[in-house]
Amino acid sequence: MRSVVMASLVALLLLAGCDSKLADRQASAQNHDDVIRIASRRLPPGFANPAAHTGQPAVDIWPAFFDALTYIDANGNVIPWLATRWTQTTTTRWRFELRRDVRFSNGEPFDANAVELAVNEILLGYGARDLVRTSLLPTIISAEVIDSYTIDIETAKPDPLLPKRLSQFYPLPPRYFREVGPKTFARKPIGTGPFIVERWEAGRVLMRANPQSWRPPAVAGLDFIEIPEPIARRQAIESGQVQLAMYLAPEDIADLKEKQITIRQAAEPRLRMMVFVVREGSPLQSRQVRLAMNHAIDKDAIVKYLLSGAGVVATQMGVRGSEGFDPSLKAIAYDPERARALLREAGYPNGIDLEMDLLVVTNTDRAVFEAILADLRDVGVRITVHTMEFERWRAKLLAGDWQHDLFSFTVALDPLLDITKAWQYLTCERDNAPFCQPEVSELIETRARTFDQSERDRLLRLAHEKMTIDPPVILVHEMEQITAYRDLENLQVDNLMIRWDQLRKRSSSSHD
Amino acid sequence: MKKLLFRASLLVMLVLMVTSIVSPDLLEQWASERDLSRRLLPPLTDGYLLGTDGLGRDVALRLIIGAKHTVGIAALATLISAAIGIGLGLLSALTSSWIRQTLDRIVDLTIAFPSLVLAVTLVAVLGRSSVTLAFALGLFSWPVFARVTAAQTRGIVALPYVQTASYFGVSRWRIAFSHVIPVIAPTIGVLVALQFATLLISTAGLSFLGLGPGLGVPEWGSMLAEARAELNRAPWLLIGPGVAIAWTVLMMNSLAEKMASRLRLSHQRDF
Amino acid sequence: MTEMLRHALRMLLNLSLLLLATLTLLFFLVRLAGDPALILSGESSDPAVLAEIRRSLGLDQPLYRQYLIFLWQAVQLDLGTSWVSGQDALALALERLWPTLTLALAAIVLHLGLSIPLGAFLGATRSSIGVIGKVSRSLDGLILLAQGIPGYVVALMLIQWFAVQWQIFPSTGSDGVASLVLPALTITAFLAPKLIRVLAVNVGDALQDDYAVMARAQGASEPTVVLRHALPNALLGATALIGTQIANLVNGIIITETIFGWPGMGRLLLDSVLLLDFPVVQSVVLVTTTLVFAANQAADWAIRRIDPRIRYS
Repeated sequence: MRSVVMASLVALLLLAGCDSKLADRQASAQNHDDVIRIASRRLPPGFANPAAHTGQPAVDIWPAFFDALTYIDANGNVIPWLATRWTQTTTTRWRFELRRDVRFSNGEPFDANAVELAVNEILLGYGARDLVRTSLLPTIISAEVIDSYTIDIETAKPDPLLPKRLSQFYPLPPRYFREVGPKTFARKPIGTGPFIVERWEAGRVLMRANPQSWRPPAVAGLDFIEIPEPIARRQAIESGQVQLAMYLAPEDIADLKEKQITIRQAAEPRLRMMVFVVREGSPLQSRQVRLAMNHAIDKDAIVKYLLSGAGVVATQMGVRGSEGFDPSLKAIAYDPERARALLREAGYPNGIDLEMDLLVVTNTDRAVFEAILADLRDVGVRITVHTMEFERWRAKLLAGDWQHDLFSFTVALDPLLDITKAWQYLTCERDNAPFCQPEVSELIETRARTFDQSERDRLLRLAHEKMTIDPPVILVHEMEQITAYRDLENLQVDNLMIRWDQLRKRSSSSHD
Repeated sequence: MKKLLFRASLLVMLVLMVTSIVSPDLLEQWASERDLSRRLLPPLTDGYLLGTDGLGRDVALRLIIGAKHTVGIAALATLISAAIGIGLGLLSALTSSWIRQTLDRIVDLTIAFPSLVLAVTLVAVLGRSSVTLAFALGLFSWPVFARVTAAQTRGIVALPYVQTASYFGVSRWRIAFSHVIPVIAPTIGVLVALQFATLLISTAGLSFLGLGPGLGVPEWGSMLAEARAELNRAPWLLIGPGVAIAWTVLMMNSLAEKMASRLRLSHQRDF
Repeated sequence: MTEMLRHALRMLLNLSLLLLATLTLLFFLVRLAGDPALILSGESSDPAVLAEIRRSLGLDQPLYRQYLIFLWQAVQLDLGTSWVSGQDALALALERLWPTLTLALAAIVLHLGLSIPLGAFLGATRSSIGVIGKVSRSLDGLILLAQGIPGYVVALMLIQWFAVQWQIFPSTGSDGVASLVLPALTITAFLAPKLIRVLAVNVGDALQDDYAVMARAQGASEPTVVLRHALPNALLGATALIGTQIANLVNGIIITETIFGWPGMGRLLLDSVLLLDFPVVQSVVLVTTTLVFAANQAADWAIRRIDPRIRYS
């Protein structure tokens, strides 16, 4: 008898728990009939700690509540955002003028102090893991308030990309930030953007509209749900559980279109490649071996079958749309015969054995690398693989600490669309460059300091020419980003960032 | 009839296992032959018994090749777990009181500990490979062996003839090898079969979660992971590795059951 | 009273020992993983930065001191901050406690609700003839088969049918009762076959015991004999399984949460492991260890209350 009572008690408790949550959700759904639910791949593990992340997954969600000084539009051009205009006062000093009509969602005014706080405290001052400082804004050394709406930013060396770099650097409300400290701020962020973070739970972020924003939104709120599996995100949009699903798998496009779901397919500024680590005594010292490996891989088949056409074969170190991209360049052709001949020429008629460090995240990654390894094996390049977690891979990349002959590298060129981003890990300036080609490094370094566009393009062309003869990497393919949505309109995606303020519910299908 | 089925099944499995371990080059080559234009074919098309995978490789052949990885890792893990468990079990039963107490307490505390929690961590720390996986699983699953060994050994040591041997100065370890191990061997055998089945499920499970030996190895768990990614387009990919795992586990459990009934143990309750 | 106090003290001692062992293991595991400073240093490989990080983490101290400091902080429930988010690691783990407990409770209710009747049925009809006997034996065969099918395979089949094809239940998210169904079923698949088979054997045996024969002789109907006499004894006989069932439950939860994107501790564990975020890993392991220990003790206590004959040494 007692056990029966206990069991019912447990069951009751359980139901009560579920029910209260359910009721809670239903209530909130009724209040905000036009809250958009979003299936997002991953929420930033650092929450809204502005120093913790650059690029994905932060760009998927932060721009809903944070704004930066500048913005990069769909064509890769930098346009005014919280800064209205900027000029260079010296080669290393920039003056930014700020919008005067902006307030943070807690009422604090946005002004030069907010930018100064962001630069001097967030960027230069706190956190051991300041990715933002090292990868996005390595050149900034200080910020100085000129007046309430004017601020000067100083760089250590000439940096033509500074305005672009600032497109993912978010000013913060000084009073609130100092009051609550960085930890609380990360969970309860305050920005100037179109939405206000209401709750940041495990796996879910709820936001409500910020009508006072300088770019007020068209819907009552956003509800981000973390769904790591592409197949689950697809299913969530199919069943109407969400109205927007990000980063779907290429194979799903056809099916979803059949089901009246709109697909937006756009170039994702990511480039998949494998980098040679060339050491004394390695067969990779031979130019022919490296070239042979480039010839060995059937990149067209990979794009056609494994990416379902959602991608293009890579032809250079950049992606379509990145500054300096040269459409006339061709990929190294798939030619296994030539690859074998080159290996023989280099003195390896029986092939070679190599080891590779590999980062595999998605199933597509896995399939692509399996195909690459099989292609290489066909011409006699046998590779032993060491797979690892992202963090370990990243630590190795940053320290240049590679023990094996190759490593996989999918370069994200966002937010700057800076074509030389990958090169910064290969340049001879680094202590542990995987493969130092002084001539190419010189070209790229010079380009980084050059403001004149035609000279920049010329230097890059020379580097690419050198690369096709003496490749430091195996280029594979560029990626494509697939977003699906239903019952929504006006989805605008600029360089991976969704314009959350523009997004609207479609009026005709209000019954859904 | 049932008996025949079981024996035939066991025989087929043994043959496949030996084929996998011997793995003639020709077989390896067939299994790695790929054709991207023939990817994700359903079973029984174009002579592919179980269809093709995402790279257009023969799933059936990959399953056979993969057997040596999955079964090998599980076997190594079982070996590690049995070695540690039996060793500590004997130690606990045959030695002085404080070692015994400590060991017994450790076993009591850890026997109900969910092994995956620490195994996951260990794999992450040591890096992914077959050996790491086997090590991680074996290292956290030995308490069962220790408990059974200790209990059985204590029973044997208390027998009059063993007491006599002990009285005449035969060393404890001699007793362990000449009297204890031969007697407990069948029981341990049952336990090994059961533990092997459990660890096989864990092996494929961790590999399914991406903590397995890695890319290009046709381990059953990683084949399942692929099946999961292609579930929309090619749900049949589940069948091959799913059946392979289930069949092996079933065989091992039945084997254990048969051995146990011969030993008049009720393995369901005793372990 | 003193006996209870002594018992409580011993429990506390056991828990402390278990936690000490786990913490020690984790401490040295993390040290094996390589230099945390390298993981934490961002893109900077500047020796000064690395030295600063090592100093702030106390990595410049000798190993035994690091270990002692680590233990002392753990005693104060300070497991450090997440290397990824900078948030309090233990708080991050505890935040996931509720979703995991919800899932676990749902799974346990489903599991027992399925296993006990099925086990009783199979045990009672083990030697029946006719249709019932046939049904019973085929069910028995099915369950034997099910014992071989790992929960993650079941999960994939459930997703394929219920979520993809028929679209009855969502395959992901933590959205009310509906999204609880498939994960709970998956965990049940990890646990149920074993319990059902043990119960069936126990019920079958109990039905041949003297008191069952007595009850029948006194005119009790067969269902009454099963429910009143055989099943309670069978359940008590199955209590030896509780430990492994709890362990399997946790193992099942880790895999299930990952498959279904359930925002609980299991998924946090895997995510953190992949991010090499060891303070969070340590916190999750610590919370899990405590929970498993508590669950075992609670089960022990309950059994002793129900059946005073069982006394543990």
